[in-house]
Amino acid sequence: MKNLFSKTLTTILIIIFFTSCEDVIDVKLDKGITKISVDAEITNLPGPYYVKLTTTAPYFENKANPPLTGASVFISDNKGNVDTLIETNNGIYVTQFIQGEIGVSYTLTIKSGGQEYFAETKINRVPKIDSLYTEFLENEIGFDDGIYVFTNIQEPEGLGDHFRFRAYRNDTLFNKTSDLFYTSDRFVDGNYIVDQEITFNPFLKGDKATLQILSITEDAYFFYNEVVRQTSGGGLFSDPPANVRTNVFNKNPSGTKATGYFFGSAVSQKTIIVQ
Amino acid sequence: MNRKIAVLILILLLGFSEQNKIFAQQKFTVSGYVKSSADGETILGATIYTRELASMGTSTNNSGFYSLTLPSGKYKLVISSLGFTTQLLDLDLIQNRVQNIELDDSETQLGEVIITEDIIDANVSSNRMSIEKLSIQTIKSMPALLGEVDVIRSIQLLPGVSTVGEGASGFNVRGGGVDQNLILQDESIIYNSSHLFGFFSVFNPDAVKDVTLMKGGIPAQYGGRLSSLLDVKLKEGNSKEFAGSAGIGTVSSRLSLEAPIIKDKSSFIIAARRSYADVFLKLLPDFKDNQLYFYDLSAKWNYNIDAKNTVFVSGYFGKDVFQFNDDFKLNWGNATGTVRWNHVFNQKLFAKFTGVFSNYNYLLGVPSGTDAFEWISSIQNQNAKADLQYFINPKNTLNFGGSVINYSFQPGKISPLGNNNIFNEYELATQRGLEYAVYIDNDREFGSRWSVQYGLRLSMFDYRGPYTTKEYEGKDGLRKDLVKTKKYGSESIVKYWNPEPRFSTRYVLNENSSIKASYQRMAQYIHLISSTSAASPLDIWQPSTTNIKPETADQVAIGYFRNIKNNMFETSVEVYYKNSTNQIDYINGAETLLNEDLESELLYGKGRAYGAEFYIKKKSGKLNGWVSYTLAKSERQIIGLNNNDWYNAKYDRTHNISIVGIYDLTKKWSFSTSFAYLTGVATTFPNSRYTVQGIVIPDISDDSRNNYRVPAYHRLDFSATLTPEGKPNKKYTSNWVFSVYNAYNRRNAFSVYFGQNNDSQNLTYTQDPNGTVIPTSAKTQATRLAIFGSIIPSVTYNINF
Repeated sequence: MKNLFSKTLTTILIIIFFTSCEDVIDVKLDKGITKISVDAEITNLPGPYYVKLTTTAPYFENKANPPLTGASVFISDNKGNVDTLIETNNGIYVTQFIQGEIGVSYTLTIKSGGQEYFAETKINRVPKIDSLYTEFLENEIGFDDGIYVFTNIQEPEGLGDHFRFRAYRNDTLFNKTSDLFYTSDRFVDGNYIVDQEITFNPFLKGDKATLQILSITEDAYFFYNEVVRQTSGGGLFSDPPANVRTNVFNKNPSGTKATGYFFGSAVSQKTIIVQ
Repeated sequence: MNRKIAVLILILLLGFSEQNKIFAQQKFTVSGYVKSSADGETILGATIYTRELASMGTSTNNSGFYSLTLPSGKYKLVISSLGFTTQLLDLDLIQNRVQNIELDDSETQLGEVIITEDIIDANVSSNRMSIEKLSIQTIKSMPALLGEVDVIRSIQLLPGVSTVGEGASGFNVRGGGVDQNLILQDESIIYNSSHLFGFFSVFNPDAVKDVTLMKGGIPAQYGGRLSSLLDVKLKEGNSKEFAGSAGIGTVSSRLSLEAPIIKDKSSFIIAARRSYADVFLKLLPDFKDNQLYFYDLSAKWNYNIDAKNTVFVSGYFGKDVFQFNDDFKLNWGNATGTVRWNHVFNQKLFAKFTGVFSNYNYLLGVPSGTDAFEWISSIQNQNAKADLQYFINPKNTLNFGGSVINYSFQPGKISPLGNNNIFNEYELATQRGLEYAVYIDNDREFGSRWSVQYGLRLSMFDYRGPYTTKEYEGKDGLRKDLVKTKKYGSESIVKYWNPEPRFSTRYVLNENSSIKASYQRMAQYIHLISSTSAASPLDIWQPSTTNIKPETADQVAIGYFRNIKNNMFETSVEVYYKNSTNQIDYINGAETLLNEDLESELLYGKGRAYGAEFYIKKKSGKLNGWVSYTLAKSERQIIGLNNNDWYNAKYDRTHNISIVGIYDLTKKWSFSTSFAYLTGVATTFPNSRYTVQGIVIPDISDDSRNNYRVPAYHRLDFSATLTPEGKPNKKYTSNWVFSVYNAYNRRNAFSVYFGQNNDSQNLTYTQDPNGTVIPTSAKTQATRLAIFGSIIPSVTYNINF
């Protein structure tokens, strides 16, 4: 369900590189330019919504990125609403009234350090999850034996839909980069999507399994795609290292660049207890 | 007026005027083929000259044919070639005559060629430079990965040649991309030279006769790629007696058979190879339904109709097959066919007419389930060409001819399989093109010191419909927007043409040394679209279109060539400078596969490469081999990457050292070793990081490209060959080859990549008020990936009968 073929390609490459080896090495890196970084999402679920602002940090600095405090943050929509966010915590800004709706576009504006940044997104339609069910998998390449949760979904007619899937076990999100499931309807438009595993990990009896499907923009689809490609190793057929896209831009094109992403999503969700 | 100029040019080209003045005497031509007496194989590049007029020499062409025109008289003809005993032949030239010559194998395989006479060795005397010939015996003597004798891996040890890493497909010549090498196997274009993703090459060593790599000074006869020509010639098959060879190795087994059909008139060779890793894999219960193998089959048949006509038919078929249960399958392969007719019009005019078919395709799929599908892609071409050689006199040869290639590209098609399938049918439109070329080229000597080869190739590419072209607009570096489409029927969409002048010259300083210079312009109309670190079998070839312009490259090279100790050592120094245009690169995160808007993600720019190549080769004696050192630079400037500044190409290798030694200790034992040292490939390291939805993402804060290098690559290999003493009545010989690859167990980095370590990915996440999660702390690290992490020993058993 992920990017069409990556699952199988990964499997084959693992088998082929039976003699390859990896080890962690010490590398001295330059200190980069500090940029602001955005981690924000607006959905059609009831607000408030949170915008997390940080600054980039040296790559090997193994702690959370420093919060960006004292910024002025707004979210506006194309219907004329403008919401001023309130900083509740270090670098975490909260909306007051704005409510995400399907079909509406949103602009996030950030003013900090004399620079003005903006990010645009849209909340697109999302289908319902038709069903979640379990099956026992045995001897499947890439899967340990065990109970897996499957889903069936009707993909809506009309090209241009992009989705991200989030799977939870007992309310904990599977959130490794290898758990990032996202898809485009380019090859599956309008079809009934059946028998798709929601995780690479098995569930246990009594587990609460939740699947969320979130509509994302095409640009966000490319964002996830680049994140996965840039963080999944350096094999023969890996992408050359390059920056992942951002949808946050400086109003002044020659000003300091920003990183991060502002997502807009409609969400549908289903939960079952694994029997 | 125009007529006069035409006549003048003709006179200049053919050089009639001066020759006629010098020799009022009547002249006759001796011509024919030079072949091996042992198996009837034609010998290419054998030298033929007379003792009496040593400077009036010639050599056999690519088909083993020679033509020598001399004043009438009595001569002693000297025919020699490396690895063969020199033959002397009395020649009473009172009329034109056909003289086919057979040479005996010299005692030792490689070394101890006794002849030198007074002719100057080709290294010094030929007006070609930047050319490297490897005999299959040399290739077979070199240490090989897992004992698989490999043409591509062997040429990677030549000066100016490198690769982006172990297991990477193809090779890079003088700072050019892997798709800038024209790889010909018996005249057929090979689009993917790799088996098993790039670990082995597709050429079966038992079928190969010799291998020539041209890095510069490429004659006008060849074109279509910017960097080099790799010409792999297949054997014709033993026309004297039945012979064969077989081998059992760690990776694959081989069998080849060759025999005369009509003695000295017609023969064939058939050679096959198959890997058998899957045989062992099947022993493991988890893998019992898997397939994982490659095979290839080469076959060639020739028929000597008469002294003037020879026909060859050859074919190649190779495939790599992977299948994992019902989960996944992938296969790819080349198929080629060549029909060639060599015709001697008269003693001075030799012609070669060739018809070629080449195909490369792959299939990737999931055989069963609701997501079962098949994805296919292919490139196919038919090629017809005529190459003529007019041997005006020993100092003047005219080459001319033409070629037309008809391409058809299927970039990708997905077909869903079975019921309840989640996929729709998806197909990218087929693309077509015709590539035409005509050339003329004159090889002349002026006096005994100076020679020139100058020529012109005129090439034209006609990109043809039916197709719907697209026009894009937007910022370079980002995916561009489609603004306009235009539909074409079966007609020409766009035509490109390029004059490609070629020039090379030699000036002999003394009998041991010469200087040479060359200039070439090359044009390339088809391009491999590959955005990954190493080319993959799924990469597609694209024609030049309305958006993709033909690539061109101009290269100049100057060299000094010197032979030492009676030609025992060949040495050379060459420097080159190459400028290329319309080099293709990709936006960050480009989707190169199954993308109908692929052209919106391509970027274009310039390339420049320059370097110096130092080379010492020992050709004879018990110890053979070479040492080469290349100091080079290869850079690109692509609008939309690296802030539009020049940056190092990934395959830029500042230092490249190769040492190859082959030592024949006794008849029983011979040893070989090779060592390679290369500056690490250029790569990009991030310097900052940020977090989105709990995932740590690296950031290259200044957006630079290839700002670092992976650690240097070096490797030492050994091999030992044991040839047990044959009993006199035994009909066969055999040998054992023991080899050790990566002898001192270096973990050569293919890449260094950055990411969260697994432990920190497994952290219990804390949930923030927004519902998304943040890892409490994420540890990041740099990881070195080595394709081979150990010493790789192997044993191969070969038998010849």
